[in-house]
Amino acid sequence: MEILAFIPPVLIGSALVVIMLPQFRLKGVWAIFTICLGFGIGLGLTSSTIFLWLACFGRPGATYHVFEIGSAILLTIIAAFRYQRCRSVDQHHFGSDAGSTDVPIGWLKRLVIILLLISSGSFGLKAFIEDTYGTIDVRIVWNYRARWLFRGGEQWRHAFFSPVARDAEYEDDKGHAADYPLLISASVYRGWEVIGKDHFSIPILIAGLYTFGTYLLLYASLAMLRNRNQGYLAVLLMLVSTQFLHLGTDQYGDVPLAFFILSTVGLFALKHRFPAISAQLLVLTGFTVSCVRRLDQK
Amino acid sequence: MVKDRFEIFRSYGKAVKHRYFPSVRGAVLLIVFPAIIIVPIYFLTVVKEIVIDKRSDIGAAYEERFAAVRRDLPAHAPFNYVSDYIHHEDFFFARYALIPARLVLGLEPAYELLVVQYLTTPGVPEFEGYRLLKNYGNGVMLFKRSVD
Repeated sequence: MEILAFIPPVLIGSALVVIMLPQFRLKGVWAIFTICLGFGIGLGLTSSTIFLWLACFGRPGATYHVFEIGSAILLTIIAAFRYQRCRSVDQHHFGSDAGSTDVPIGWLKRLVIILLLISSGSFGLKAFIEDTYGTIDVRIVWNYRARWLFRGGEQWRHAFFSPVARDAEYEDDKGHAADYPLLISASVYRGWEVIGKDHFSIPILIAGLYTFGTYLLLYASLAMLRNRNQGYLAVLLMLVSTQFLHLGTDQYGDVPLAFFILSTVGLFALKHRFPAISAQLLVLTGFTVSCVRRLDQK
Repeated sequence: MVKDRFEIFRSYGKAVKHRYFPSVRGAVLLIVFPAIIIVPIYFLTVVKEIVIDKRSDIGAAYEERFAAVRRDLPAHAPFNYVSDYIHHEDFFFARYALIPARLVLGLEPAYELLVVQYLTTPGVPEFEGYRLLKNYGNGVMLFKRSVD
């Protein structure tokens, strides 16, 4: 059930990508790229909207969910309309003319799929059984703030402080990494608000989506820029370093950061590859860069 | 006969070998082979950690242990916290599990309520100026300030 909480962000983000880039055919690697990028942008946007709602109107209730689902439906309709219109006027579709040089190697593709499935099994076992609540960073920063936002009621601002005793006097310390932005915390909080309880599965799912989103985004970007075989090899190279998967299971903020940095680099590279749509790609780059900024203050 | 078959097999192997990435085969194999070995080994390591080593999340134990006392703590109010569990992350685990109450480590300044986690020390401890309000039976106890 928890996975349903991520449908509106994916719809919102993917619809925005399609609205910006209706020339992208929603098939194969182009669809993977759109959905992965859309998931990242959507989660970034919804984490901002829910925090703004909390700050301006108080705890988000049914009205917020109606607003979010309504936005997702509206944007999806606009995206579908724009995509169909772009196809009907017979504009050039990127991805419709796969070059003859892009012939995927069957065994390589199967190998990548099998290893991704094994890795997802490792992730699931480690995250849901061994490291349910993630690493210490999660309890000090990301989920600590998310839990305060969720359980804090009117006093949710305590998310940004930590009570300490100094010289037998009580002080509201700024806490650990007080200037860390809120993308992950607000995303986790949003998930908890949607399902109505602070269950550990929401941060795990967010970590999993960013981890495997990075693998898929890397594949899709390289497949679009070079060819699918190079995309497969890049994913294999990343799978060899199990440290990335390990960081994902620990729910470190570095994994979403890597996702958005990769998105930004990929979009910049696509801008050079497809100069005809460089303006739209730059707008999307703006979204991903702002998400990077909302993950890391440096 | 056997030699002919071997030759056919060898030439087939050679053809397969030369079909993929002819110019960078060494580099590709350096990626593919480690991936084939490392990814399943990592999976088996995780399974071993769970099944044989019986590793589980320490945070989950804190959530379970403090679930009852959290309901008895007033929201947003500070309280004192003392523990005999020597773990560098003990404070963070307890603080996280007890949100929205506000955990202050140590006995000073003294607040109305004191949460004690004594996992290795037997019996009920005594704290000056506090009386036991509730013993949860799992090492967690709630004390209240006695009237001076």
